[in-house]
Amino acid sequence: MEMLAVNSLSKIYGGKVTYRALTDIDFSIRKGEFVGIMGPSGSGKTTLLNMISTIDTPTSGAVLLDGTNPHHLKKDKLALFRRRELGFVFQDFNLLDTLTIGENIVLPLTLDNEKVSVMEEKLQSVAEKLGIQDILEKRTFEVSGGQRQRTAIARAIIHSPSLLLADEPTGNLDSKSSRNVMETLEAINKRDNTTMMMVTHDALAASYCHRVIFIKDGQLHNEMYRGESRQVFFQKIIDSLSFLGGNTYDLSTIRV
Amino acid sequence: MTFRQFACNNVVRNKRMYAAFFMSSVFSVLIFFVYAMFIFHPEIIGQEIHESVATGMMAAEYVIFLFSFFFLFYCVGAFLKKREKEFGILFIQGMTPLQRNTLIFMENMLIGIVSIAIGIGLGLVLAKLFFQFAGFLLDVKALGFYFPWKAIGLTVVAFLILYAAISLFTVLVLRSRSLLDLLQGSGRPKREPRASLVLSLVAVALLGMSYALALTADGVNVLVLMLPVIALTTVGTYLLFTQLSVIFIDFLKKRRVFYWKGTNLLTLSDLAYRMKDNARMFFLVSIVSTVAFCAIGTLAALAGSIQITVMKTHPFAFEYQSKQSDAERAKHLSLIETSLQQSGFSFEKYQVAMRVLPELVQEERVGVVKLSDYNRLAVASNSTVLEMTNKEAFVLLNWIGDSVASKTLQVGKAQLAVKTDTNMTPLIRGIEFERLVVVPNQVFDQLPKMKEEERFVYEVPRWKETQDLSLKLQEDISHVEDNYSFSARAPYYHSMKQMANMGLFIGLFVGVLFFVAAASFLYFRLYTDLEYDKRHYGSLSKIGLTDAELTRIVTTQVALLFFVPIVVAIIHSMVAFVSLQSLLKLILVASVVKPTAIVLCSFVIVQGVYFWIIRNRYLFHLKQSMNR
Repeated sequence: MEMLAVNSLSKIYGGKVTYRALTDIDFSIRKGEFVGIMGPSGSGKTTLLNMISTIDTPTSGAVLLDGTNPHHLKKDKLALFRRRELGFVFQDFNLLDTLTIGENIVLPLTLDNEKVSVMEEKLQSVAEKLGIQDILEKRTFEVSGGQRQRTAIARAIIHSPSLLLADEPTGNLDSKSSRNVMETLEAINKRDNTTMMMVTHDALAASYCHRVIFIKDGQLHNEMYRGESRQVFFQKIIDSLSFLGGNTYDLSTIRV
Repeated sequence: MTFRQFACNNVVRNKRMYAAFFMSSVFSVLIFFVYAMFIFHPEIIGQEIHESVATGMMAAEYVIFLFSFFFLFYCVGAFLKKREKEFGILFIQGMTPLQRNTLIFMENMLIGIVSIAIGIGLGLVLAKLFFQFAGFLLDVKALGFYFPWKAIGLTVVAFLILYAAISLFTVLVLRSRSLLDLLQGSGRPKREPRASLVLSLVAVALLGMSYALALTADGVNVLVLMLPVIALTTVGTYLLFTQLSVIFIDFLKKRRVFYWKGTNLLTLSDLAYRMKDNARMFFLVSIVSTVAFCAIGTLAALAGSIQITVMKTHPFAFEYQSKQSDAERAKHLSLIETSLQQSGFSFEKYQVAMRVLPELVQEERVGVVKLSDYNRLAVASNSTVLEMTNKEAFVLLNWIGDSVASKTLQVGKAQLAVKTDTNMTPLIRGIEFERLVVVPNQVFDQLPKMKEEERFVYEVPRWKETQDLSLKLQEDISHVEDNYSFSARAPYYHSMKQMANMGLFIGLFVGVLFFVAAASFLYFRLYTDLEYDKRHYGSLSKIGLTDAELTRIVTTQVALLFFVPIVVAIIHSMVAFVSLQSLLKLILVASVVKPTAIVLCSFVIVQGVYFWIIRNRYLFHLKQSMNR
């Protein structure tokens, strides 16, 4: 069953010099699938993610999430859509500094006027899954980067979204935290059958996906499925990246 | 966490950001509330002075309310700008625009309600002190404490409406930016403001023009030119900070010998980078401070010059003027004299006779007085002694701008050449004539029989203490007939003094409110910069910036922030005072220099102390974060 369908999506940035960021992107993600998007800097990965996450609007083409095109929704409906159907994990966590870790996690439910007892219950279960039960009362500046990212993941999954979107979730983390975060995402994907799409530079992070889509210069380049072994998949991703000819920066975060 | 708790957390956990804003809104509520307590005080009914204070305060209430509105509106806007990224995150978590508006509303109302509560609480505590201070300034018995239900009601309702309106307007004018922009937030490097040379020249021209107009305007013209000058100055000041300052910094940056020397590089480049943010704040602080300076300076000048003014309008402590037909003259004069003697006041009595010319001169009835008589009074009241030949007459002007059209005057048989002096005020007024002319003794003595008036004046050295006596005399010598007139200086002086002190009393708090508001703009600016500066100076210290250099750069920057607008405001106000001086001449105010100098100096001292505290706190925070 298709959870996400992207049909001939294009994005042209206007201005004095028009710039074609994405050209005719077509792909789909099945329910419960974990898909990685990779490509060199400036290839349009983040633009693609922003289209799907409704942060930015496409110039042409359509994004269908579970059959709904969020770009056609009215403002209020769109907010409800984001609140209930989408979950986000960002590179720089995007937690609110005024709230505690626990409060950050329940934020989507708060916005949805959920009952406090329900919030408590869900918070406990999601915090347990991510191993952050002990820091729920702490403030964001009192915990480590890895803990912050797990907080962000908890916030992204507490309302069981149809699609979890992650933008370089390991970009600001050290290798141990990166592994930890990716294992967490993988576990959530397996256990809850959450559909996930992740944009990354990091071949190690990408090797946790079921499938990796490569884009270059705003166009789909190729895609690769993971076989049995994550190690082999990781090697294939590295090969593919060097074939794509990303600059050295793109490979600098690779850790095995 | 419910939505309401969420809104509370946003405010409570951000208290440092809101501190100055909160304090100045508490202060506005406080001032508004104490004024309201005064206005609704049950004891003021029937007391003239208190009633007029209450009227003045009513006007001040409007000023406070309007000012609070604009000030808080600006602050709320600035806070929201700083929180763009936060809203971006919330939108992506699925906040609806309506929820955002509700959030803003709840947060503002929370701050509003708490500051109303604290403001009123403080007001109740300080009420007694305030009434005592009022009693002291107005020279009357202080009002007692009472429980001001009405004042509390008015304050609560007024400020609740104010905060609600601010929330509403803020939401209405909030620009809806794309989610992408919001998420990138204000962290993006800002472009330096581009300034045009033409507009900079316009700034210089506008300021020059308004200064020239203000400095050259004379007398009544000041009033006419006031609005255009204010408009020119305001626009000029805006351009000064947004355009000329940028051009000036650019100019300095091109001088490499200067720019690349020591810490100048850092100070100047930082200054240029922040000029866009700072320009508007500099502008606001300058204008608000100018208004505060001018208001308090004017009131202080008025209050300080009352005595001189009164001495001119009432040259003698007591004056009794009577017509020939006055039957009670002897009775009244002895009443005055015995009263003075009984109360132990020494006095000196003078007497002058005047005659009223039978024919009108330019539709005015003219009274004449003998030169020697006039000069006797002039000497007694320290006024100008006149000199003239036997062919001249001295016509006294009744007000500034008054003029005498005819070159000659027919007095009796003599044809006299008219002399006059615009700087002199008449020592004597008449019952049956409007204009007084001093004529040579000889001419006066040769006048045929005509209507006569006689004036008896008493010079009392301790006249300031004759208030009660004067009031009693004014009552006894009733004024229903027009055969005589009686006037005493002390009651007039007291009521003038009360009026001036009342103005000072009312204006002082409003002025201080303005000043506090300006100070909280500065606090907010620095608070916004602190996070950025921590990173900025953190990385600079890693490449070898010493503590002393850091201190120097920060001190320079904070000093510029604090004193540039104040210096501009002081220059503006000084120009304003110069033209004020020429306006106040009209109502006989002698000099505004001393009181305004006191006002400006005390502002500079307060600002200096504030600067020192804030600079030390700022450096402390910076150094603390670097050592971590």
